[in-house]
Amino acid sequence: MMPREKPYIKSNRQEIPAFAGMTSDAQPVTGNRQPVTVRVAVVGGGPAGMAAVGALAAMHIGVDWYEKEDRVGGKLNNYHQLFPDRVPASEAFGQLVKGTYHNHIDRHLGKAITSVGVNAGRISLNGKDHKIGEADAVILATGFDFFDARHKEEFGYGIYKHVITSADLETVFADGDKLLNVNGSAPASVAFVHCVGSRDEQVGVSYCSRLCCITGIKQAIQIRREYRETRVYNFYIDMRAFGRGYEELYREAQENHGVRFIRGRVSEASEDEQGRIRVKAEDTLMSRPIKLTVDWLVLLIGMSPSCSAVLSGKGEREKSFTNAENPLTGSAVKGQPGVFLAGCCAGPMSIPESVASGRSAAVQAAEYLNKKNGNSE
Amino acid sequence: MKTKFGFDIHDNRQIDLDLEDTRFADEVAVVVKSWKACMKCGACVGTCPVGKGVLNLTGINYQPALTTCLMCGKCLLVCPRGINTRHLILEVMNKYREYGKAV
Amino acid sequence: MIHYWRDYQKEIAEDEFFYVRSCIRQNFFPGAENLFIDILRNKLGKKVFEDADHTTCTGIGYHSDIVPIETTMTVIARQFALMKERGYRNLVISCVTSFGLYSEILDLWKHDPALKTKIEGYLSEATGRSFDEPANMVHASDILYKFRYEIAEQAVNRLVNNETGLPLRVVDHIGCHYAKTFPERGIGGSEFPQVLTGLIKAWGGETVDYPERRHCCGFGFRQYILQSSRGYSISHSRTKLESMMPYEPDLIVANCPGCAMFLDRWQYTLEETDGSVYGPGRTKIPVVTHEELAGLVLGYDPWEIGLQTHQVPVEGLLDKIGIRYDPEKKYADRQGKLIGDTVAVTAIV
Ligand SMILES: Cc1cc2nc3c(=O)[nH]c(=O)nc-3n(C[C@H](O)[C@H](O)[C@H](O)COP(=O)(O)OP(=O)(O)OC[C@H]3O[C@@H](n4cnc5c(N)ncnc54)[C@H](O)[C@@H]3O)c2cc1C
Ligand code: SF4
Ligand code: SF4
Ligand code: SF4
Repeated sequence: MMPREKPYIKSNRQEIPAFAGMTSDAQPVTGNRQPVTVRVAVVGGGPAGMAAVGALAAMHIGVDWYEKEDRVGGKLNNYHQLFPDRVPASEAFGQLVKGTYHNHIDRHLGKAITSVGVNAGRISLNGKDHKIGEADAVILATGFDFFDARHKEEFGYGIYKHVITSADLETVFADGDKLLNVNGSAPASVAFVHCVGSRDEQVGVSYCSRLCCITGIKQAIQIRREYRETRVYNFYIDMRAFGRGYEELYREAQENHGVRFIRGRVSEASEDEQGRIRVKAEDTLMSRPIKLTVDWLVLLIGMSPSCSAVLSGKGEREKSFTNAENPLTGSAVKGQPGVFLAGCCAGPMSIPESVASGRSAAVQAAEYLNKKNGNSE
Repeated sequence: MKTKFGFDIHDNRQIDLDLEDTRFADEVAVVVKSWKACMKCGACVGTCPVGKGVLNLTGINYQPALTTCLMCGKCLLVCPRGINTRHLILEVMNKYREYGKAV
Repeated sequence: MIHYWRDYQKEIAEDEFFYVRSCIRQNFFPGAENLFIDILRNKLGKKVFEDADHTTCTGIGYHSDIVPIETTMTVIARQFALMKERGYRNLVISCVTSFGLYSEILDLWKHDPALKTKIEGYLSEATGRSFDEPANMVHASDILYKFRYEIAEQAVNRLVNNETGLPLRVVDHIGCHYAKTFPERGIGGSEFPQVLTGLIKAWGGETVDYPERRHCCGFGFRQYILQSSRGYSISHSRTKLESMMPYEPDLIVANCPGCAMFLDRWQYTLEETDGSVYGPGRTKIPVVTHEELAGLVLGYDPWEIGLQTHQVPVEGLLDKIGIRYDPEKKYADRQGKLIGDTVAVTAIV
């Protein structure tokens, strides 16, 4: 993500209580410390990682939990409210983190794992130039990276001040900042561009990031809630509102919040003489080109895979998500026995899906260890 | 001035959303709120015996739908968003009269 | 590898250039190419070779569907052959249309080597010649970009308003075929091209990034060639001019001969048609090419470099910069005899 300059945004940042004391002694540690013979490493402290460590500990498996940042929570730390029910991100974090205060879980914050090595049933976890730890099985929950919107040059991200990404907008909401126009008052209009860095051969990305449509809907509603007079437009290619409550939220955005959904891809953005953003698109349902000037242009950025770098150990990002050996039935990594994927490093997922995926990986790791140690029935 | 050069300068077909006037649409939506939920799927036009249908109402030009509608109600049956299209058509007609436009 | 605009840089040779002219630039701006060669040879001390046997690249015929691509390729292969025979490897192309076409052909050959072999056959059959692809191939504006600071060191004039001391507001227009077909072959790519803004900034001016900056000038080959279709062409120029108008630009600089021509001539036509003018204070906006801009900065005489052939009068611009010129000499030929007068032509049909 680009370092954010926020010249027109007025900050009201308050410490959000749930984020404040999240150190390792913030909550009582639960679970008896029973002697554990096997240890699983979980890499990544986002929703998937949090779910996985909790599930492992509940099965009396010892966990080494690695997170490269100085706190767990992953992307959740910078979100405002979650679709489709508008649960505050801090509340979701609170629910998830509860399960991670357990005697069997050792947290290692500020530890980035750059490669894993499978050797005779033991797996080593390595940092940049030294070994960090060892485990009997590993769950990779390194999540996703935000697509770097500067690569879609035609939108001018990083050049025009009033072009931001959906991730930037989440932090604006989460920090309680204001989204003001160049004159310091409420914006007259805001437009969202769907599929930025997804479904786009120009940047070598073939897949759909799945969650940006619903993120666009969620954020459009949020803008209409904060600024009743602001016109909001969403420019989409296909509308993909696939999950529980998503289509309903789409309709709510149209009917109750007057958000205008226009089928057509924005193909050019430029700054006008006042610093507002001029966009060009086609309303493909009307077969006519459109011109529109907005105070803010929000790019709904896609998700880029992250764990290919760890798996290859070369630090190179792949263009597609890592395929599990047998994606229909599990998330074991091909050729690396004992390594499992969880959450968005396996593909774009929502938080509930990431959580389910984290728990599933925990069960798979447990099954693997049972089998390996000859305990299977 | 007004020299003839043998060709015309064209205005382009671009819709300038900055100049869009949504007052009429907004007033209709006060009465038929579901109108705004239209996703331009085209089911109403596809089934319309006169081939005009309600989709036109959501676009820029209301006239063709209104002048030929038979009030048969078929569009009402097919709209996946459950929009009361007959109510909508009547409301648009009322508004047209109010605005003094011929229907 | 995905790039974004800052990554688009290219290799530009230092010296020993084989220069190919542009058919239309020679007609529209007859002083510009000599000026370019003069700057290179006499201001920058470079070796430049021009071949009298060089011909059109067929670009306009090709883009108008008159010349088949094999013919175009063979013609271009012949230019490469001339370069080889003269012992040069660095090609500098004056015209953006040609530059795009040369780039396109090299790319086609790269993807389809059999096609290249076929063209080698045609060339050898027709002329007995053989060719090598250039080691370095750039557009003339790239060369000025590369040496922009050297030029700035020798500058006699700067792109600054003489009276106010403020930088001139300059609109840059990049020919579509400079970077839109192959962004990686243009400095700054296609969305945020740097090639002309680099010159403007180095020489003291300020650039204007207006909404329709990337819009085509309207030349469009086919649109222009048929009189009845010229409305399409002029409508695009108008879109651009309308969009730059609020910025009150002092001048437009374009690296493509077609663009400079149309942004210049169509301002006249628009005024004649409906009275519209787009410059500050109901003036028209002067348009110059990159070579002419360098020439003004380096202190060449405006009439020596052909600025009298522009439709929009440049005197206002010269006054702003503080360049001295003799109004009497504007339409004088080399012997000092007047060959035209300063009264505008009133109708062209
Ligand atoms: C703009 C936007 C808004 C969204 N809003 C919602 C929403 O409202 N509701 C919803 O359900 N979903 C939402 N999502 C999706 C949500 O972000 C994901 O489902 C969720 O973050 C996935 O969790 P994760 O644990 O897989 O990955 P992440 O949240 O990415 O967490 C990965 C963690 O791993 C760490 N890590 C990465 N690499 C390493 C390494 N090498 N070593 C150690 N640690 C490492 C990272 O620091 C991070 O803490 C949104 C997505 C976007 C793009
Ligand atoms: S979810 Fe929507 S915005 Fe995101 S890539 Fe898929 S279609 Fe595009
Ligand atoms: S009610 Fe009118 S618009 Fe609807 S299907 Fe019948 S004729 Fe067509
Ligand atoms: S059927 Fe309903 S949703 Fe579809 S276009 Fe017609 S009115 Fe809109």
